[in-house]
Amino acid sequence: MASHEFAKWRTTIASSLARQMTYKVDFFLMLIAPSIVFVSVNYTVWRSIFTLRGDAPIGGFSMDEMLRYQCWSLIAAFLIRSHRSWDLSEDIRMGRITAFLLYPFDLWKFHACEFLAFQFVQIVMAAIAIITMITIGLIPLPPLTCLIPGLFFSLSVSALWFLFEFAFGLVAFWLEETWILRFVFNLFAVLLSGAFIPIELFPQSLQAVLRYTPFPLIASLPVHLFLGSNVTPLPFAFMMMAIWMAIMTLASIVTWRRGIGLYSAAGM
Amino acid sequence: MARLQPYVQVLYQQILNSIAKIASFRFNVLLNIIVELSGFLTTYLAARFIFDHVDHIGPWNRPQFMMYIFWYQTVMCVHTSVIAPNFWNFATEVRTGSLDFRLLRPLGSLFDVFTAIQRPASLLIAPLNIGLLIYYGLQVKLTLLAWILLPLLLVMSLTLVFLIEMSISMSIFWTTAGDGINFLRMQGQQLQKWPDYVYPERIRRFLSTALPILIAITFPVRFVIDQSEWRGVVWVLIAIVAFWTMCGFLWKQGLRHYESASS
Repeated sequence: MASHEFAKWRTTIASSLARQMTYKVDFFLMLIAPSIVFVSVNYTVWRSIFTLRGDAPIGGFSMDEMLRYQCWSLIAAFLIRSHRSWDLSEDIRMGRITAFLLYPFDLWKFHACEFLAFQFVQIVMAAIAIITMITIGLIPLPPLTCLIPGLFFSLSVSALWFLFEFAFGLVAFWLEETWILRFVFNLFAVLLSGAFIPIELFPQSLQAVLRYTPFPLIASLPVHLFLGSNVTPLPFAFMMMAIWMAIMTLASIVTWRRGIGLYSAAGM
Repeated sequence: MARLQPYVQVLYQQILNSIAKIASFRFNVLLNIIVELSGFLTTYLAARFIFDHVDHIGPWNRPQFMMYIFWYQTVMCVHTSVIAPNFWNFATEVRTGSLDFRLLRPLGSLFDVFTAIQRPASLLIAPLNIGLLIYYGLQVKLTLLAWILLPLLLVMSLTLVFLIEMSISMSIFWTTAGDGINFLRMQGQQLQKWPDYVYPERIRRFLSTALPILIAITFPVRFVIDQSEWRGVVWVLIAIVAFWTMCGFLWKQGLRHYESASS
């Protein structure tokens, strides 16, 4: 029974991977290029800010530390916050999830497979990015004691990101334009996660509040793990991750149960 | 003037239609306002957090830099409501072949394609952006000439941003990656968020000449701060003329390549 289930997952992941790689230009322009441009701009902006003020440190960060922070921020972005649930929203709006109500494979499992296939590509992209950055001297070779915890934590948080995306996608039962929720969440996630400005530069009161939100888990914490400069206790970080995963899982279950009651299979 | 009249009438009707639409879908209006406010808030906070630790970013102090930020925000606010939805629609219409219907209309096709859809809800936040632009303009102590020319320069910024993005989106005719091209176009907006001087020399030169996305906002702002920088405005005007011509050329070439899929 378990092997039968495993075969379904493996086949779905393989087919998702093949589908994602069919439109390589779209895949690159929509999911890879934005992260590269975002971090390249951030890297350039910070380098310019430091250079134009004579390399004086900012909020305890030297120029080298800040630039390495931005490089690892790209790796964290690849591994954690690249996945999107566009297909889910469209499938609900167009009435295409009807098939999943009949298949012996749940909708959430299908999207989890899509996510895992996507993560496989993103791990390769992250590996290429790390090797490139080491080769051209943007970052030093990280010790395994930093790299392994950083990778492990990033991949764990990516599951939380998937849950957020999945929950936003399910809102399509009520809203036509679910991109709005995703877009707003992304805007705040980029700012408050420390992907561009390290959280250490935020006002103290805001830093204290952010400890209990999922945002630092999305960029600041994994980047500091990669850099070997993490000061947040890991048990606390994993506890926060587990709490937010539980919240988002619950939200997805409730949204699904209520939404499916409204589902009219439009377009079928 | 008589040639322009039908265009003005059509544009007027399109605006009325879009207003009627937002009156029907009020919740969507609210969501659009939330998007705009979120964009505004995150941009403002990012600048504020940085200026908590530094006095200047390059040659500009806080009011000058914030004026740049709200110049960009004002331009993008109009862009989001009037122009942006049409880029996404254009990609869909080329892919599905429904562009045919626009080509058959007794009106300039290019006009119809890029003005058909408007999202006026986003404009509701424009007073906030313009208000802060004026506030920081007062802090910078702009001259009377700068205040007089400011609306015209804002229109120039918007026009150049639009024309550059339009020329990028024409590549949709030659590729199946319509949405990908739109994402590429949006990356240009990411680059415009910051003044040109933060970029390394080579990138700055390329993005000020071959693909002049950096000059659209930076040069007009630099001129209102310091009127001796008038050459930048001339450069923006030249870029507008060049990209206007190029868009017309690319449109004609693109239509020759258009296969009218599925129609």
